Amino acid sequence: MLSRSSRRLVVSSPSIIIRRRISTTKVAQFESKNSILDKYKKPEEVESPSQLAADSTLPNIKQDLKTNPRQASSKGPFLSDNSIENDPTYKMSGWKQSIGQQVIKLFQIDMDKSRSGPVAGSVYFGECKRQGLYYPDEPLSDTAKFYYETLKLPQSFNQQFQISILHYWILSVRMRALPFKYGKDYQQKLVDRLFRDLELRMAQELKINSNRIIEGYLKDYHTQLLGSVLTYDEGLVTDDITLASALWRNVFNGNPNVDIRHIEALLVYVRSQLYVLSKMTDREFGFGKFKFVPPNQTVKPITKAQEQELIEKAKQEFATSDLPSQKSVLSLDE
Amino acid sequence: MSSKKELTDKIISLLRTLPKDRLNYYSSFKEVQLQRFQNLNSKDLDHNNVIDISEKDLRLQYDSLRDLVNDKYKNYYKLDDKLLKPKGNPIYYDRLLSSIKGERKETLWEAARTVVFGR
Repeated sequence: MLSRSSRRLVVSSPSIIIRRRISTTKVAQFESKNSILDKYKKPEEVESPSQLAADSTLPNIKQDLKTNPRQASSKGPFLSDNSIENDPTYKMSGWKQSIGQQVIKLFQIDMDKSRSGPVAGSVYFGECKRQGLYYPDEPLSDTAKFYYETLKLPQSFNQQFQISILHYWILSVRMRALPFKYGKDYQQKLVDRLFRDLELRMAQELKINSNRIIEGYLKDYHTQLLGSVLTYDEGLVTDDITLASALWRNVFNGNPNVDIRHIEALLVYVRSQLYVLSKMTDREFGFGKFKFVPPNQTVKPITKAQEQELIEKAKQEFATSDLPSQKSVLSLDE
Repeated sequence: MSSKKELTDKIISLLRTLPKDRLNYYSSFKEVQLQRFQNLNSKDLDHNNVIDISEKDLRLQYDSLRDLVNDKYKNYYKLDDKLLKPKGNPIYYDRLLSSIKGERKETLWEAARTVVFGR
């Protein structure tokens, strides 16, 4: 039996011993018994976030938000009015491409820095925005169904932003693991675009005419962003219950009658996305290859051999990328 | 003792083991949930919105809370130093935690350096 002072927690398998250096949570063992038969047990499977949340039939008590959220009365473009950004099939003509490649070569442009704009400021921004986006007269997307139907979150503009902040934070954790000057650029481009979009949507979709009011809301949202990132970061490096509390305060609006199963489902979603990101090389992430795993899918941990296989595949994929615009110093090994 | 009451007691005792929040937030998960489940046990008519929970759902609440307290998912989706000691700023989380815990306070010079250089 382990003493409390050893600050260790033994989980289901006796071979797994986790040292808890940072957490201040008391050592507690709940229904985890060591048995000589443990090694014959199959590793515990984790259900998909949607499945986990759907297990519970706890009666939903609508939270009193003390306000009637203003709903969008019109629909703005998903990314922008720019025809190039809105057209996924757009391909630059041959002569324009060759001029561009020559310019990059001649001026030795740092493409990793240049790429942060279109990747973080457009591809990853779109990923963050898509998750909780809904319009009152339209059917919900699959991801929006997870938040508003499965987790029963209120449909409001503020709620959409909280969901976007959560996804921004997930991406920013991975961006921190890029070389400093690039990671900072990616974070900056993503957050700039998120706030630019907020500003436009408040004017175009929510029809707020006063710039002073919009400015005020933007300042509030900025404060919310800083607070959320701080608490999510704290939860990431401490323990699940701290992260769950942060999700409860920010995404579940501190609802006292919350279904704890729903918090667990969202925490599984967040941890699984971070796991996928941690198994992705810098180069793949920097080129915008990451997509959030839908909540109805399960992420299973991979072995070292499988991880190596993924790295080899990424190397093969980038082996033929030798144009000046495709140059990168981002690692393909980690 | 009904099994519903037993489960509620288990949830309450589990909630009591949670550490205090390190920072003062607008609401504390531990305090709010403790109050919710204590009301469930006392069957206070003013809080009858929580006494309609079925035994199955109450068990799920307990199971979920237990998994969260036992760090089930932190261990299942184990992250390595790639994210926890990010190469862009390896001491980011150490500094953040020591600051949250109040172990160390940044000097004015260090704060100015962080603002200028970003780390």
